[in-house]
Amino acid sequence: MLATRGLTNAPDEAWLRPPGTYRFPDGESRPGLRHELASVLALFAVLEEYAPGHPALLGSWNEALSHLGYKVPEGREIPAGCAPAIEILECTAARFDLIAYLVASHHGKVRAALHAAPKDQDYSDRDGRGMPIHGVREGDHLPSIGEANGLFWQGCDLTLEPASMGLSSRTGASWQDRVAGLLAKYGPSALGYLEAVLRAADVRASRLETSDPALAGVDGA
Amino acid sequence: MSLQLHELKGCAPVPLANYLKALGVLRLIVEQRADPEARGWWQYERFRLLTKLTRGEIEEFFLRRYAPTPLLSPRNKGCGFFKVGDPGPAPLENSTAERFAPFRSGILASRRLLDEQSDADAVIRAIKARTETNKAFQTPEQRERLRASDVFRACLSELRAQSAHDDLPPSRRDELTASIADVEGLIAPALRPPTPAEAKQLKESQGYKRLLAAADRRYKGLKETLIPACRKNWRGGLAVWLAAAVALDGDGTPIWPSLLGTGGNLDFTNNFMQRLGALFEMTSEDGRPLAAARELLANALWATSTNRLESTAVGRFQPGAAGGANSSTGTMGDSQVNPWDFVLMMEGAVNNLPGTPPNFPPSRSYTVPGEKNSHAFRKANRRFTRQRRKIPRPRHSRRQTQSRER
Repeated sequence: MLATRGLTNAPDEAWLRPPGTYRFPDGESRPGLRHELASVLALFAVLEEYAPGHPALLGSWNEALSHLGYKVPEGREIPAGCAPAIEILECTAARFDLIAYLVASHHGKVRAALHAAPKDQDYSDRDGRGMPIHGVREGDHLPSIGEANGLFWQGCDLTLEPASMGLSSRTGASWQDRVAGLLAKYGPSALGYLEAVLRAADVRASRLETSDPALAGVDGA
Repeated sequence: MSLQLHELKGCAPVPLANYLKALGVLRLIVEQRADPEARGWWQYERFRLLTKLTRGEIEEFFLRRYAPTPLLSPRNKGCGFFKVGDPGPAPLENSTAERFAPFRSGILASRRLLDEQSDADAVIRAIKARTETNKAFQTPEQRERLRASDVFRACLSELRAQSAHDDLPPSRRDELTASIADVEGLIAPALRPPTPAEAKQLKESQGYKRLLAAADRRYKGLKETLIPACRKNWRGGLAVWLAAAVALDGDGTPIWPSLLGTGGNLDFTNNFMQRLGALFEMTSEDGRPLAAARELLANALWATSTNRLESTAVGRFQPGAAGGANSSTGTMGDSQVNPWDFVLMMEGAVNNLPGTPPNFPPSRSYTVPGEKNSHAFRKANRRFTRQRRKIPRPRHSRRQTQSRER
């Protein structure tokens, strides 16, 4: 069973699938959607929006990009109170890569390479935005989260640029490039250990029945 | 240091050999730490390399520092492991330069795996030689090899253990005693080969059949496990090459990727080793480049002119250089190959890793997208078949539909 399904795949009957699972607001279905990939791409979107010249995005590649005929654009001003974005912008390039990797890998499904899963290949592209990767498509919009305890998230558009090979004029080094750097720096064992720590923390947090204080007052929270 | 943009005119995207050559150049410069941050891309039919290295430094890297990736396929007879003094592996095996150290240890690792297989083959030959009626009869060396072999000792111990049981029927005990005598007789000194009648009798004896079957099983087992054993034991460049040359499916069955195939009559790895011999002085302490290597490298990278091309096998990736009718002045021409082109092409082919994903069902063969048997291909093929036969697309069962509505 494990050999044919893979270690990270639970049996079909293991999870409840309430109506609307993998269903998007516009009605289309994206089986195999991985929310953690959307979260990682949101990190990239924050840098692209507010600080394209950040060392974790294009700042380290100024000279290379100028040889390629690209110019690093200016970022927008961060809205007051958007603390999550400020925290991301305060990361160093190395720290950003590690955070992005751990966010991506905390379910064990999205790790060293961003590539389409078999269920993505069944998707039919009708609007020319291209095929999904783990259920996320180019240009997907991550909705905003209203103000709660002085924090808010204003939403962003996601791009799959990091999944492409080579240097991107929007998101800099590719995902594989970043992961190769992390593997060279930490080694597979240390990286695996950090993944496990975050995974354990995620499981513990999910067992709590208290509502997230950061989301208190938000509709549905 | 500021970056430099180089235009590698010798690395156009076609033919495939030059495309792979560009990948090889980039891979080696990055992996062998000449410039770990180097970037490359194709533009206007040329490969562009963005690096902190100058043109001279790039050339010096390939001429003086480049350590060839050990590309070895011991499963192929053409690789050169079954011939003493083969012009492929032999010079590298006898080299002393540090830059060839990965290759030397790769050849050693291959020989270690093959030695066991060769030994199993020799044991089978030693058993069969006992039934030869002519000068091919078992030699004293073969007798000793058989006596010392694990298969022989295991077979004899098993027969003795079975015959030691107290509750054996007399007929079975006699049978086992005769088999023990047959097996022991295979290593007994003999003054002459058997007569044809004696040889036939020996071939039909239970002990002989049993020992030969055990030896055959061991050989087949080793042969089948050679590639998995390579996968298990090889590390570094050897492992990377193996991953590019062969993929193993969920059952451990080898799948040969389209790019390199099974090697066929033209063994890529042996050719690669011979081309290295045409570029470097294998016997020197530092593996220094031969006189023509610099000029040939400039031709391979920057497309400068040279009259030092070799007439040698080129492979299927550069058909224009294969020679033949109207390929030169006169009616026929020889192949014209730059050894650097072949070496760098093979180094670039290592980038292609058609590995089977670990969670891919073994029933699905994994191939390059667009290739026959790929998931996308089969999906398109199913759609085509449905349209041709006017088969309706499968619908969800009523129960499933109701469940979705709920």
